[in-house]
Amino acid sequence: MRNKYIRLIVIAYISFNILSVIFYCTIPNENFVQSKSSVASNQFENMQNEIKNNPQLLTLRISDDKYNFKNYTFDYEGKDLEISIAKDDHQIFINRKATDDNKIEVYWYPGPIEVNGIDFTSVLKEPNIKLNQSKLNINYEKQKYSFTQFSKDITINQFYEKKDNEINNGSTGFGSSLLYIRIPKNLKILENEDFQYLP
Amino acid sequence: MSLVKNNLMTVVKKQYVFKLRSFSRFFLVIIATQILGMLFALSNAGGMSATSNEIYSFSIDYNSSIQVFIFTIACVAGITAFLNLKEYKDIDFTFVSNRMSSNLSNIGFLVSLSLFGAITSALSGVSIRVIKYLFISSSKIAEIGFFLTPLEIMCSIGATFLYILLLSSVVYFCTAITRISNVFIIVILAAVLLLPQTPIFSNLVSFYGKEHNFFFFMIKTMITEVLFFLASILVSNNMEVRG
Repeated sequence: MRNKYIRLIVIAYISFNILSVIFYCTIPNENFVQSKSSVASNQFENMQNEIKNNPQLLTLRISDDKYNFKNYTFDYEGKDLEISIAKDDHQIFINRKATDDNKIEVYWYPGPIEVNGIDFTSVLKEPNIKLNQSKLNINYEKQKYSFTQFSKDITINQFYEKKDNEINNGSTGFGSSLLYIRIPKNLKILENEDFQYLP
Repeated sequence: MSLVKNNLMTVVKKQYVFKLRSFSRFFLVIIATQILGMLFALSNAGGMSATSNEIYSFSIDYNSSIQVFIFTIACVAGITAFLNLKEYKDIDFTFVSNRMSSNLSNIGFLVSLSLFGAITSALSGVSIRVIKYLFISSSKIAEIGFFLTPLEIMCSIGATFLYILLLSSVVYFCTAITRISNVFIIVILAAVLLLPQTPIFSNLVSFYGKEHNFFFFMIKTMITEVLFFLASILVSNNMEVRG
């Protein structure tokens, strides 16, 4: 091949790389799967410790914007209620209200989910919570997430504190979600040993 | 003394420019190898993993540009071996030259080739990220590992260059000694096969690969490269002009 063509190909290849770098610099750091690793876990853990020491605090936390509890309210005039939860790794707290206001309030707080050190808690879908006659159904859709993770070159990782291994072997854990259910004063709940009643 | 030095440098410069022109196809070989490496990298050769519970299921595609790095380093090592072949060596004698100028121009050419390979290899990592970004939604890409700082890119170029040149200097030395006697071919082959099984090899890998300070890494690799190139020059200087 003539040198002229070789030079053209080399220039084209270098230009492609340079253009890639220019474009790369303009990519906004938005919508990416964020790596706020352990933020949700730490917040959740702190709240759990608080509740353990003082369960009444949960009543305050549900109205705290920082915790972003999802709220569902149902009008209910029945005498008994059965609570059915499809997923069993929940912490369920039940608080009997002081009045009989015929309203069932359900507050849901997602358990922290961390995969490879990446916090997925914020992208999880809320459960479907429906009141069907005298049964409160809490169901979850099966959720599938797939994502791409880049590891930095060995020539970068060698000189930086955060080694590539730390990314790939980042912690993976599924935390149990928290349900806080406020029921009218005289509503009878069909017993379940997993429920914790708050005074 | 000064005159001799100038003459040598002039010849080296002429030979270097001549080699850049006549061996320019080697740059194409590097480009082709890197494109192949990029195709491997883009085809999710980095592997996958999955984790789930009864509700949530996560699958992760791992991506890296390690394939481009390995392909490039292997390619430059291959080219280095070619440079010491008799057919390529004889090109030097189209000039009034000696072994010294031939070696120095070869080293200059290898440095240029390594630099080209290092820059394009490191930037290929960026290109791979851009291509992935264009073809899959950013909401499917983990922020961690995707964004590189300019310093990290520079560091990658520098370290890749030093690694390529390191292997290149070793291969250059090996091919130089094989021109003394064919016995060295057997010795080198035996060393390639046996050395990875010895603790010396893991110590050597640690010596360079576990050096986390870039400056010390640069010093270590550059000293090794200079030593290997010097040894190659000494070995070939003792050979006849068209050995």
